[in-house]
Amino acid sequence: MRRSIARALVGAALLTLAYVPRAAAYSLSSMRNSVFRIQVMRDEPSFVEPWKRVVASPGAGTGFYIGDGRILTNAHVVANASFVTVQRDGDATPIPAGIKFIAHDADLAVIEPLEPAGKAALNAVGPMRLGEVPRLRSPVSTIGFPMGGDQLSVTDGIVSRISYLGYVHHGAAKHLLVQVDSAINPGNSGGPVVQGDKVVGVAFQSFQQAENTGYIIPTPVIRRFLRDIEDGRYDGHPDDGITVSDWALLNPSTQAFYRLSASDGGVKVAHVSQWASTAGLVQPGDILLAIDRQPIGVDGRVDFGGERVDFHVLFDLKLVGDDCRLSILRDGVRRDVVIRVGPAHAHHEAGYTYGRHPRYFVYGGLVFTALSRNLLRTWGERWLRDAPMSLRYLESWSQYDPEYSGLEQIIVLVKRLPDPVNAYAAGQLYQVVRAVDGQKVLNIGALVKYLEQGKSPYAVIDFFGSHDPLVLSRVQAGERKSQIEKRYGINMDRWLDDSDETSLSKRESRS
Amino acid sequence: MRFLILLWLLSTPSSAEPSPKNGNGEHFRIEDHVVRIYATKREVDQSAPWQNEDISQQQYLAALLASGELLTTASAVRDASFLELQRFDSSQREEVVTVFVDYEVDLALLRPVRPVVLKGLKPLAIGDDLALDSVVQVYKLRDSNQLSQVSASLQEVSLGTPSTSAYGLLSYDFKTQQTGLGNAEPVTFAGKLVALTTSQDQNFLSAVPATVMRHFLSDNHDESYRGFPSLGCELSSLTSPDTRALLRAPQVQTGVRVASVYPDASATGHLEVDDVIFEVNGQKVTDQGHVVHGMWGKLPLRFVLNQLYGGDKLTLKLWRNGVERTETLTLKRFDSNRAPVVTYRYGQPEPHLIVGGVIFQELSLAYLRQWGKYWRDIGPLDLLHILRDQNEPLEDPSTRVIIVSRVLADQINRGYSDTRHRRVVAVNGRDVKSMAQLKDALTKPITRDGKLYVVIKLGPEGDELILMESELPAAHARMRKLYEIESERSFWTR
Repeated sequence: MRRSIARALVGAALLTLAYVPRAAAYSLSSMRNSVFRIQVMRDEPSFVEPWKRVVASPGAGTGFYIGDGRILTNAHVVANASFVTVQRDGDATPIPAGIKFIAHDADLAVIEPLEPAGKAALNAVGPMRLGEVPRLRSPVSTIGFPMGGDQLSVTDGIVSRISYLGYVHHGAAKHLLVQVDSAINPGNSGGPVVQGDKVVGVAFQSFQQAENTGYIIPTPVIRRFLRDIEDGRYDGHPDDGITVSDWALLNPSTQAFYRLSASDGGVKVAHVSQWASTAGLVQPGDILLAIDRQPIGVDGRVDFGGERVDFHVLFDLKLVGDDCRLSILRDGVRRDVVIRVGPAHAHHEAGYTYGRHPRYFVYGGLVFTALSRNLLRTWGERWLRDAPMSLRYLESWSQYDPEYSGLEQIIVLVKRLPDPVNAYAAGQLYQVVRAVDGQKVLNIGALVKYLEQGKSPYAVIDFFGSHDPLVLSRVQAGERKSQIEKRYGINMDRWLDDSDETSLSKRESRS
Repeated sequence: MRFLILLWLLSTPSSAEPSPKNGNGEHFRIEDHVVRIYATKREVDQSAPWQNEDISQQQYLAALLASGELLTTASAVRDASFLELQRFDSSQREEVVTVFVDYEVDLALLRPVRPVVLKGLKPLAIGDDLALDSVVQVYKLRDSNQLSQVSASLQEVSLGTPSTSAYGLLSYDFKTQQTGLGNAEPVTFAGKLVALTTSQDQNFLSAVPATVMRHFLSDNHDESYRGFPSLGCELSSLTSPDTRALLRAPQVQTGVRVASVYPDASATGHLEVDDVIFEVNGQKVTDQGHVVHGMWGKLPLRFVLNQLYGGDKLTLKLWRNGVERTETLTLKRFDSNRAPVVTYRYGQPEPHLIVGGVIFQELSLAYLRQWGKYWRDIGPLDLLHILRDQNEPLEDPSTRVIIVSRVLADQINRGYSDTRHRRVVAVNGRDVKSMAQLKDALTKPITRDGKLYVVIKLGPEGDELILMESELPAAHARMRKLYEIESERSFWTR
């Protein structure tokens, strides 16, 4: 059954600073030349006053050379970066670098030195090679630049678990990850985790409540990222959009109801997202028996290189355009359904976004923006309880609630910039727009269209769960526009461009 | 110690009134007018609704009235399985019974089983309405068989919601230095009862005012009780000139907008959405929905309803599409439980049904309060979301939100035992919006391959729990033994 990813991640933290060293059993001398300290300056968009950017803050992490002039690191190390440098252990000067590709969902990024001299220096270094998923209980070493010194350091640990869990940087995405029981301190995200002479993962997050628990991004996720960017753009992990009732087929009555035996395994589909590439092909009530011919157990897991992991992993590791074969029992008939994997639909932003403006529109001094994790996060660390209940509810449940079905974005009135035109609009703050002049608002573009192109002298904005619409004079909103923009320093009254990841990476590689 | 003494000095205002004398010129002693109430309470265990929580005992105060009855708060008697009184001049406890209770306004009348026990005590007269800033006396229970006198001043008169209901009720908010109040302590002014305390939040002490007590006491205390009415609609401020223009209401600072009209309510058939009410029983209504009271200033329009009874007439003047009209409607008594989530069910058995270990219950505020003091922040979001429309009474008053609270683990429900706090959408393909609908749906199991199945669909994602009907009796027998559930009625049988 569905568990709140956000809640599961509350205790997890990103390792923006350090791993602690201990001597490795094999020579690190060749590897140390391939590991870089990464330093960044960040500036982030404001989600409450979206035309602004928040002042720059410094950050640091680790990266390693993977050949072809490219350094691999975590997305969270370089997210929102306005300036990036890389520096090898023992080198005197940091080299300016730029972001070539960034995958916020997988928390991975490729950066490259900006100047020819930097590129030349890299060519003298041997790239680190990717290995396989490490076996349970096997030893690994994590290499990085912890806080408290300039030198490279190495930590040893043991692989303790291979799971499908949330990636904190994105906030809503789950992927394959490997848990390691090595002492982890805030510090060197993006550092290579090695076994023998091969990289088996990238260190990226830890668990705050537990000691000696670190997580690494395993090579299947890294390889998927590198394959995804081969065509020059990052499409991202697909989302199968399937919510299952796992363990349901452990129940003997349920097995009998579906004419299955205990050995058949399988999980029951409870819900299919209308935005997913599985929509229409997989239906609630279907029993998923296998994915790509791998049998799915009643626990919802499949065999993955000798370990049992959640069946979603197999779909999650596919590229856009790949096929996925699902074996389904529907109405007593077994059938195979082949799904052409599509991109994760950018309806309401499920996770955190980086490096781009929130979608917003300022009308009559009222700031409307699309609900996002970033917006909720403005209520602070404890947003899960401090943010308005209705917004927390929509973040978790809107896709299942028929009242909100069809909404591509959830448009929230997030701020009133006081002006005579909106003097009476204070009561509707943080409410979600349902309609303008009776026309349902499915996304921010529709909001703009209905507000600006409406013909009646008054714009009537209706909100979900409210009988108290907001009424604005269109003439006054027009007359007061420049005054309001001047008074509050708004240089751009809207940002509607949605989900254009390529323009995003262009913007970041320029910076 | 010195610190405590200083505080005590500070907390006794020098302007406190001298001890009043009663009508006979005798010295006023509160102990002559009130008794201590011991309430033995057994609340329903929301996680096992066939049984009660552990027994707890709480103490309150009750004031003797001229009728020979004792007045206290409904909070004092709610969930009480046994009530006793104790006079301040005696160590004896005597059984008392509840004569009448109105949870909507948090008031209750009690009577001792042996009326003779009140002999020698003097009735406390109900006083007049208090002016703001009046300094009153509140009487706090001490562990010793005594009352201590505390002064408090009337800070604000507002409309609040009693802890026992959802009714918009007039409330006195006193300011006091004393803590630990709010347990039906009597509040007196000039030797008369002017309020009964109901709750305290730091320095602010809330109390039911005398005017509400008079209303409650002058009503009939039987089936013909008329109670406190409501208008049955939602109002929204009409301060925006743009909204006024759209509604064609005059650009003045009077008149409030009707935002929605509830089904089968006082206003149904008389008011429409976008009506603008500007006068209620001759009193002007401001653009923020206030009426002006001579002593207390602006109060929400609902205050007018506090002064009326169910069955009374109410005359409204309003603008509809810019045209003035008058509507006279008959008021209906307010019912907190005519809402999606059950507001209260004190002392009533908790409706529930166990089907193959799956426990069905009605969603109630008591259920949500299991998440503790901050239940509104940390409770399950999909259940809390239902409260969004809590103020809107339902078309069919028997409609409830049915939930699966949890599953008693047994072989019949293997794989489902983690299910908790889930809304029920349908059973056997039929919508389930009440316990009656649930029972009805259970009698129509789904047939497949000659066997009968119970299929329970849960929200919001649509998970299903499937149980073979023929296995239910044996499973119920196992559970009755294993979980020691004595009540046979807790289990569903055909």
